[in-house]
Amino acid sequence: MSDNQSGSTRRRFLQGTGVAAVSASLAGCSGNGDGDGTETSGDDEDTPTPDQTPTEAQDDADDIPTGGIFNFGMGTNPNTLNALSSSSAYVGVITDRIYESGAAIDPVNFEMHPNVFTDWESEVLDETGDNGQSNVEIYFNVRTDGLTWNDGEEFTVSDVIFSYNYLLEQNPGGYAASLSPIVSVEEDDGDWDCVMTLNQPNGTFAYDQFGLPILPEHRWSDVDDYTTYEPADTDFGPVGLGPGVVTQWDPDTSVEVSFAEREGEYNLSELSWREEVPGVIAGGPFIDAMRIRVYSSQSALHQALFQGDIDSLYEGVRTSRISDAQEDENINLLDGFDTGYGHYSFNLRNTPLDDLPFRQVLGFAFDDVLWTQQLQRGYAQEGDFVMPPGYTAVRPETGSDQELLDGPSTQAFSFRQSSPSVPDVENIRAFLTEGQVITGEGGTYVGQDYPGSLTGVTASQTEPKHDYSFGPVESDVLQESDQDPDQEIRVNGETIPEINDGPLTMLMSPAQEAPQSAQMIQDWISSLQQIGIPIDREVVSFNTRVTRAYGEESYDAFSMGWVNLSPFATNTLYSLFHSDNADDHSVAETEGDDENTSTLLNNAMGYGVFDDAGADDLIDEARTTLEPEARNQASREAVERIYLDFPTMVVDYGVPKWPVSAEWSGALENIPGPGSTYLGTQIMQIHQSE
Amino acid sequence: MTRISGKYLAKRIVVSYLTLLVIMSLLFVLLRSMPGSFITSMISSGMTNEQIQQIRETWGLNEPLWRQYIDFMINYQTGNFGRSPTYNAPVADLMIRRMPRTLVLFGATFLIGFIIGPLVGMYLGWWRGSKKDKSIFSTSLLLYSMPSFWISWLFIWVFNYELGWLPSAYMFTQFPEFQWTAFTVMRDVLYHIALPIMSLTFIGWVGSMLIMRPTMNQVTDEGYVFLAHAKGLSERTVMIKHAARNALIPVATGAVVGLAFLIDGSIIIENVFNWPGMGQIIVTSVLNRDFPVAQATFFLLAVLVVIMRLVTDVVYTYLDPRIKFGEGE
Repeated sequence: MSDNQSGSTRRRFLQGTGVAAVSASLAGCSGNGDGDGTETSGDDEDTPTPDQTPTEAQDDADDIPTGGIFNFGMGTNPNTLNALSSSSAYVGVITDRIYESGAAIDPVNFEMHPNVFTDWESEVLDETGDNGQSNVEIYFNVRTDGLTWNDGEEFTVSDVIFSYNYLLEQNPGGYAASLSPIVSVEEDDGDWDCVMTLNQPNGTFAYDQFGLPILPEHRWSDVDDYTTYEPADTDFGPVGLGPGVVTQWDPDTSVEVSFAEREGEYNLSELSWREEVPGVIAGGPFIDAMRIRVYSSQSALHQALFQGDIDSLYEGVRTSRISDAQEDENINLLDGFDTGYGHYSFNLRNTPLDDLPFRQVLGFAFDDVLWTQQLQRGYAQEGDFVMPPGYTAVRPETGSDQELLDGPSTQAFSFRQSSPSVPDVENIRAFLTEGQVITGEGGTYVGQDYPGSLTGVTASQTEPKHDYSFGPVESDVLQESDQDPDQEIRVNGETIPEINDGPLTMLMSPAQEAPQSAQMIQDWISSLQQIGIPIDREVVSFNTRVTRAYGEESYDAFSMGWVNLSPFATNTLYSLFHSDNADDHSVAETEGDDENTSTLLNNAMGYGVFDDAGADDLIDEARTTLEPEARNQASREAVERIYLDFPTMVVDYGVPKWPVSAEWSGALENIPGPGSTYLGTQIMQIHQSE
Repeated sequence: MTRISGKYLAKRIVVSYLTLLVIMSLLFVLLRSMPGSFITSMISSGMTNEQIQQIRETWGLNEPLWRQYIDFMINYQTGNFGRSPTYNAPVADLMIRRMPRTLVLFGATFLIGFIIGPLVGMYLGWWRGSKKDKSIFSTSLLLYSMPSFWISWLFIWVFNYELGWLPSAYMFTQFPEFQWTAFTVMRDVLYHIALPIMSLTFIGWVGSMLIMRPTMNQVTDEGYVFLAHAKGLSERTVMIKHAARNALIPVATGAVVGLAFLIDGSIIIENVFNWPGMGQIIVTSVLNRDFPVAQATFFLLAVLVVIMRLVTDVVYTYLDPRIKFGEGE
């Protein structure tokens, strides 16, 4: 998944709370944001609304008090200082303070700004490569004045050329998506310092390709295999252009990143753009050091926060402790936005999940109020599109007169109820039997008006694929159901168990790991059973779910979550919804094998593999459009096409609450991932309270 | 005088070795039966099939399973535990770093528990049926039924959160403002280990007491105890030298079992006290499907138990002179 404070496009593993505790198996996966089941008081006023703006910066950096040590807690240890070999977000907390990249992103406007590279220009060439796309040359200049490596060595253009070529040669997995379009990086013969050749136009190259870490040639040139290199074992530690120096390293318990060591040597935070972005403070870091303490559990981590042993923690306060944090006068809670979403996804390879109206009915049965307001106690927002609300530029509402998250076009698949919490069984059945489908055209569907799509796109499928009817209950799962449905669905005259050798199954976490999630899934399944759809739960561990969904595609539906999505959407849409990233494990990749078990791509749904469910054209257009507004428009259209095609039901966006000790000020509020994805920005401007 | 014949000892060592081979084989099969592969975390979207194959090649996953098994068995017997994909480090380094921490905590707990438990058991067994026996025994049963993590949280709440006397995490002071010397290291470890040890031994002694008490009670009726009394030896001497020594044999067996339970408990306790030992790494390696680390941790713990079992055999012969292993061979 795309990421982050350094503009890097590497995918980050996040070991969060609840079901996400073991999500290291799949990049960027998180759980569904479950807390631990403890009662807390919900408070809707705490939910950030999209019109909130980041906090204002102080006028003059010279007035900001400097010094002090910021103690930071993490629930998972950073296991290496090798930025190439690890995709862990917890490693990034340290290495992102060490390494710099060509361009930097600001988390307020999501604009790319000069960093190590001072300026750049791209040119689409007439020639095309093997992929049929036009090659692109990107010319850029490198800032060498005043930049030094943190071990005191001089930084040169040669380091940049070396870095890219080293990365291309080694091709570390976490950077593969950003590296794959790069054909070469060389010193330019003309007016520019360097030229990078891409095998296709990429409007977000400043984020994707310029986000790669710049490595010191004098340290890495002798490293033949990056996977076996551990900077912590060297005489100095990791060497980079960033503001930090690792001065203590015990990955099991504690790490210290000193900024005082680089005082007067690091000047990238003084770049003029930082003074122009609202809320961003130039001239940091203002702290002497960041001390990272590792705790073995979320409970211990939170205890340390409330005892004052740490000033802040990674990600945010768990839902069950938010009220405690609100009552603690020593802690300020900063609001933020999710950088991803929680979802239920469907296997489009299986009948009747291959049919759009059937998938849309699955949305009509999901009680989003129960999920977001009751079970999540208001600390989650209702989900709709596959882009979180903080990334407004690529959400379909932008440019329309409809409100973010609340517009009627975002409610096309909301819960249809005949009375509170009771699904509108008769009208939902009628939706199927009458051959209705929400294609993007306005109309009234299951008793609710839908004004039509925001961007003008339509669903890939416009007519039902199957003939639906309802008859006597025959399936065991419905006969044994407490819901006691009076009818069962028939697909082309057959029951679903007759077609699939059993009912549909929903893969879910054990209830003790994710109690609210389990409760929600049970409610959803009950609603579907009331309608007459034979579906059952299958309780599996997180790892099994990942393997079944992404490794084997052996599932009908599963629940999961994504974090650290790209604010520019293009890479995210490509990674999660393009047919290039959909596996077919029934076909062996290697000769002699019975089946393919080696690939593990992110598009587990198979979206884009079929003619009547895909957005490849729009995603490709977004990826190869250089002009920002046209690119964002294509992204918005792709996002809405995916919404209408419904391969994934977005069930929520989290509402992070990032705690910071009252002793510290300057942190940015109301940005996506305030204590995780954009932690780097926060560290650069946090300072002692006056 | 040795009471174990060399041949018997050699036989026991061979059996222990074969036991470890079986355990290694089981570990290999069980860990690979877990869903998913540890290289999942290294594969990302956009990687070509060649890249993925390269990763599989690097980690030996393209080899047939039998080949992987043979490599695994050979490597382990030569001390090569492989490299952790999660920690990007040789597994042996991780073990060397973490094993001592676990041994310090649980070694100390084990020793204290197996000193207090048998002593109390000796006393209660000797005075069985007395008021003290009844009250201490029922209290200890109550303690024994309490989960160790709950007791630990209770102690943390009282001694750390409320009183602020003792730290609840880590083995050393993080970012100390004092110089490390032998004295400060010792003092700092004792300061940090106090609360985990208090929590563990608070209930940890009961197990050995429960073994010692009835055994002690049984030996009070033995002829050699009557003889000792008849000789006019003091009550204390009879109880300790003649009765307790013989009652210790089942306790020694229980110690091996107790050690296994302690290791089991380390998974919970190390996480509660943020003690960076083997217990923590077991949890994270299994969750991350870091097979090299998981295999090595389980293997080393198995080695520990097998060695302890062997040592117990030797200890038996010194506790009870009547026991002679391998005499008839």
